[in-house]
Amino acid sequence: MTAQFSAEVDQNQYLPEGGRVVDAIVTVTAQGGDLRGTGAAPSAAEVIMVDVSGSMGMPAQKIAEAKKATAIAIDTLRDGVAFAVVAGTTTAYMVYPPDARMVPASAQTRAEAKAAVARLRADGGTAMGRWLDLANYLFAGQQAEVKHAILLTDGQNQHESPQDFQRVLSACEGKFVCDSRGVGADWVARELRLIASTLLGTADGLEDPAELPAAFQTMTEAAMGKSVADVSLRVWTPASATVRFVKQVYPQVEDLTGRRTEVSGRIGDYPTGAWGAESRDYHVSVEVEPDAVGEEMLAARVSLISGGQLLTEKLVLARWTDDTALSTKINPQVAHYTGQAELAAVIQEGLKARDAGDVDTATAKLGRAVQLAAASGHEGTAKLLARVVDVVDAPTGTVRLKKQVAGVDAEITNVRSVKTVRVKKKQEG
Amino acid sequence: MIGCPDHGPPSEPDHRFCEVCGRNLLTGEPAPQSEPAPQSVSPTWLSSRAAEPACASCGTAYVGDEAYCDHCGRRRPVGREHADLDLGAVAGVTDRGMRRRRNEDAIAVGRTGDVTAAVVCDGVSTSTHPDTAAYAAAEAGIAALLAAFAHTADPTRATLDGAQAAAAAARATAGPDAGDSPPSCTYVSGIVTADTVTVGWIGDSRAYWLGADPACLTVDDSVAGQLAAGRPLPPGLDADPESRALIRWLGADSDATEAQVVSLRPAGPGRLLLCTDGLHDYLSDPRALAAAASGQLIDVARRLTTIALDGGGHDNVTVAVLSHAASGGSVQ
Repeated sequence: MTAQFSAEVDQNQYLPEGGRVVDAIVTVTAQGGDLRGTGAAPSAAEVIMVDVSGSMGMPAQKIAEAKKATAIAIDTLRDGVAFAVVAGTTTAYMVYPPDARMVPASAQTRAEAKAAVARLRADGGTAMGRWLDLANYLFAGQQAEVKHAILLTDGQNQHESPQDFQRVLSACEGKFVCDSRGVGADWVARELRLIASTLLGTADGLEDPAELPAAFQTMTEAAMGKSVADVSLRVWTPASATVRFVKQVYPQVEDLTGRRTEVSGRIGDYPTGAWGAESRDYHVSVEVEPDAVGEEMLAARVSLISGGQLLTEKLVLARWTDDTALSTKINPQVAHYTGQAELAAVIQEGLKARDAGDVDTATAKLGRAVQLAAASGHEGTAKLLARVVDVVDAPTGTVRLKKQVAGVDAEITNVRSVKTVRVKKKQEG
Repeated sequence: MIGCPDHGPPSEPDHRFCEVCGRNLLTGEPAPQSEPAPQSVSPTWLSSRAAEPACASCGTAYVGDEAYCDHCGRRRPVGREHADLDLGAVAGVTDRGMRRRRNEDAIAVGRTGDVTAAVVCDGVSTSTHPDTAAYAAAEAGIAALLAAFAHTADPTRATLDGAQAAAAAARATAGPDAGDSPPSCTYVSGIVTADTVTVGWIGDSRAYWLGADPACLTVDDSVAGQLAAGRPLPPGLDADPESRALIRWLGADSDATEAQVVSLRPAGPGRLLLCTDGLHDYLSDPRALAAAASGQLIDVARRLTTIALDGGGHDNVTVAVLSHAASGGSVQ
């Protein structure tokens, strides 16, 4: 079976005379199995990082569910997938195998690994950079095409400086994909989102430790389901144009603009990680030199590339017209995702202002967030926002900050702020 | 003897006869006049498709057959702004005109043996990338028309086959993103044999017989054209005698595949003219056209094009002229 990548472009090609900005939503969908047509899944390697800091034992349910979740993740690995389990405190140490390497999954290694995980004790502090550093070392010894890690934490990254943490993240960037999860009440959304952004993974918080096993299973299954590794979004723009931004906007907002690798003067690659059977949306915004009314220009050529192979390609066009009925038409997809990106931004800004005690800014930003969430039908986010504000009137964005908010509610609202919903496409006549 | 005194050395050293004139290269004796000189009967044709190697906007060489310049993103023209095509017994000119930004007309001229043919297509300017449809239709049309004639020697059959191939080719130019205005164009073909002149059309590009009794051979597939000819309109259209709206055209949003066909057996010599509305908007009277139709065919095509340009050139203008010789006459 061959993975089929297809892409669709949603845009208004028409610009008024002198118009310069071309916006397009590119929907990329991958279906089917393996790109190479061999039928075999690509080779994979998996590192599971489990927080075993002292707080994981308070309550004891956290460490118990974390062990259960890790065991399920181990069981979900395909035979032959290289794996390792790392325990994290202020340092990182090997749980399985005992020495710093990875072993192929088999009935025997799975059983040994689960036995080692069962013996874990919660004791110590939190320095996630050290954990990632060890994972990076382990992956460096692997040839696998898909390299995936899971990081579980229950606390703030207290025992290393943000600079040290950032340094490790930069070293890991492009080396492996990492999904991170927070459990309990003390993790920090900002840290998990930073890991997810840099390492092209997802971030989320779990309200109940009992959700851990299912979450680990989902993440591992998704990693095992990746059929094409190291996919880049390639954007060609004409000589006189500039790329304003390239963002993933579904399933979550991820600004890729700064992640560009120059291929040539007019071509840049943006990393998207590994793909299974899934669909993602990208917002590409390009500023072009205006041409005369009636002229047409190729504003961008957007393609997906893996291992030098072109998976799919779409064109983004610009046409200048003096027909204002055409040039003023707002593309619903572009408008929707512009709103979703703003929604993510105002939630983060609002929560930050709230933490800083700036009630006016927090109220204004979170009010706008409530308004945007309601208007776009983003029920998940609307519900989360209702934990941090009392909604007086959603359509106008009138809210009051809640006096008493559990810390974890604000963090979950923050970590999930980047999740977006899709607008239902209008039925073509 | 090493080669022919008129045509140089043969393509293969062991050839005994000149490929062009049939001269015996061993004896130097010319080919016997009683037998016709060997000539290719396989169809040949040319079109006005653009062959510019570089972008007119930025001068960058085009890469492959990409539709846009790889440097500045400007769309690559499908056809030439101006082209003169001359095969002797059939010739044509296409020109952008004075007002339009692009030339979205297409012309192809060809022959098989002594039989000549031409196809003229006019891209519908309200459709997306009409020039892609016009070129696809003109080239598929002439190739199929000539091939069908070479096969069947039936000009009516060949005319119908050509239009059908053109319709399929125009339809195929609609990409998945064509939306509600896919590339579309008109179509008119002409084929001239020793004793017949046959035209076929879909749309409002025209054919004129310019002989002893000049006449427009086509009836425009437009509201105005149908009303003027006293034909019924398809249901749902206003009977506006001024309306140039097409009722038949080629493209993915049209079902028209069957050309209307008119065939003549001229008693004397004359010219067959095919043209887009860029000409017949300025000059449509058959007698006036006939008056401008003497001389070398390419000169006739140039003269008629100039009339349209001097008149204002509001549209692309394309003219094809084919010669029907009186029996045993020359193509002059």
